[in-house]
Amino acid sequence: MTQANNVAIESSQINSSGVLQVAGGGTGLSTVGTSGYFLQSNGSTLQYTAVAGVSPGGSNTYVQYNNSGAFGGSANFVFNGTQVGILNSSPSYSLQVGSATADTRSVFWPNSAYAIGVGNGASGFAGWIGGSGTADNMVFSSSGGSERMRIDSSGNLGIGTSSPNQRVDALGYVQARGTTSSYFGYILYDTTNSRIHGTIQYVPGSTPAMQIGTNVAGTGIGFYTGNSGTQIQIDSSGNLQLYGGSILNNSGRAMLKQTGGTLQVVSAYSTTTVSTTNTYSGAVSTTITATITPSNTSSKILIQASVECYGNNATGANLAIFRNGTNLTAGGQNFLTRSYPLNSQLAINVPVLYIDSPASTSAQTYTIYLWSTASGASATTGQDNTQQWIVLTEIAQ
Amino acid sequence: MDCSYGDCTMILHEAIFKLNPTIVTIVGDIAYDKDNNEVQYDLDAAKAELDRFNAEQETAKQTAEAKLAKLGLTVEDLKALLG
Repeated sequence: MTQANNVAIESSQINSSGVLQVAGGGTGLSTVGTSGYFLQSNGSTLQYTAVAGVSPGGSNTYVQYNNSGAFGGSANFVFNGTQVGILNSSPSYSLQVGSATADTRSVFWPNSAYAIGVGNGASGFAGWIGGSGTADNMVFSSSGGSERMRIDSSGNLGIGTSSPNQRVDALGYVQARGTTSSYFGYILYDTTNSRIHGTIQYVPGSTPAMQIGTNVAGTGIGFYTGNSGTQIQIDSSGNLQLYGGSILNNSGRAMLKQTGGTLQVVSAYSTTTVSTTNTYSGAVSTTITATITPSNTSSKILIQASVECYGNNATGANLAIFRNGTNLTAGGQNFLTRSYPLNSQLAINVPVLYIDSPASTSAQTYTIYLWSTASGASATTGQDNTQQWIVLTEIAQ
Repeated sequence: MDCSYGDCTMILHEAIFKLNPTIVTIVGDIAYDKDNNEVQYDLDAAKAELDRFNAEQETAKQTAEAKLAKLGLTVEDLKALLG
């Protein structure tokens, strides 16, 4: 056997299960020795030997790993009992990767469509974030895995669609949520000129308004239907045009092309006294004149004028309407010839009415001309410097 | 100027025409000849002519009314007669 305080066991007495059999039916060692030691054979006897290489590596909370056959630990991977830190030795959350100052992008490399799954707080699966195979798309899902949003390889964002074909492509309504005191809506930004080109916005407040506008001088707003081109146009001057099969220009504030409707009105007056002894060949302007630019070649122009006439020498005055220097009356005849009151030298206000069809969208100047019915006798308009007026009305056809 | 209907008053332009035969057109205060060239004229002379003519006509009117009165007639009687 052995000397006092030592035990010697033949190796044949140790069975294959590793249980130390004590000869004589004993029940085991009464003393197992100092903590941190283990029994080890030195080739002839069993001896207590100090345990080597079992101390944990690194500092407290460091997760251990096989470091070349020994325990290793690092500040790059810690577990404090409730929180795990990767590249962060003091995690503040259940799982924290990296710090605020280091580039700690992680790579998820699953062979399935999704990379990060999120539970729903019960037993289910709320959604995931991941790729979409070889298409290089980023996909975001909810409701247990249904795709809700995608950024494709071109950078187009699809919401409710997996094939966005514009920078933002949403299936369904797009809502701009605002407050009761701040504008909200959409801005159309001109990157080339670094400016807001237009807005679609709601203006809250005591007089709320829905606004569609442009901020750029010289820019109008057009409304289109189908492929038929502009249907309604508000030009940069604020003129409103409605198109009904033909194009109207922008010379009027509100140009409603309705047959018989008034498209625009121009008026002028004169208080100048004009006299002449010329006959027709020398007809002179009474200075009662106005210019209108028709919005459509089919428009009619209604000319209304009131002329104070004064005739003399039993002959009197002749009046005619000239358009751009040409007498409108067929054959160059007078529109108004002398009348009885003119012969009596009483000045009267003569109404002049005429409907013209200029068939042009160029500026048209209408002028009342005057001449005497007898050479050498004078004819006069505006004798008392009273107001004589002319009104031009464009009528849609 | 025609006074056949009774009210015979010259206007300033008529006086200008009378004193300046080359003038054929007057626009406001500016006069022109047949070639549309501006013509200078004596405005004061024209006003004097206007005053002289109108005074002469007023005198003639008063004279006529005095003659009517001697006959026991009035201007209204004449208008009624002439229609």
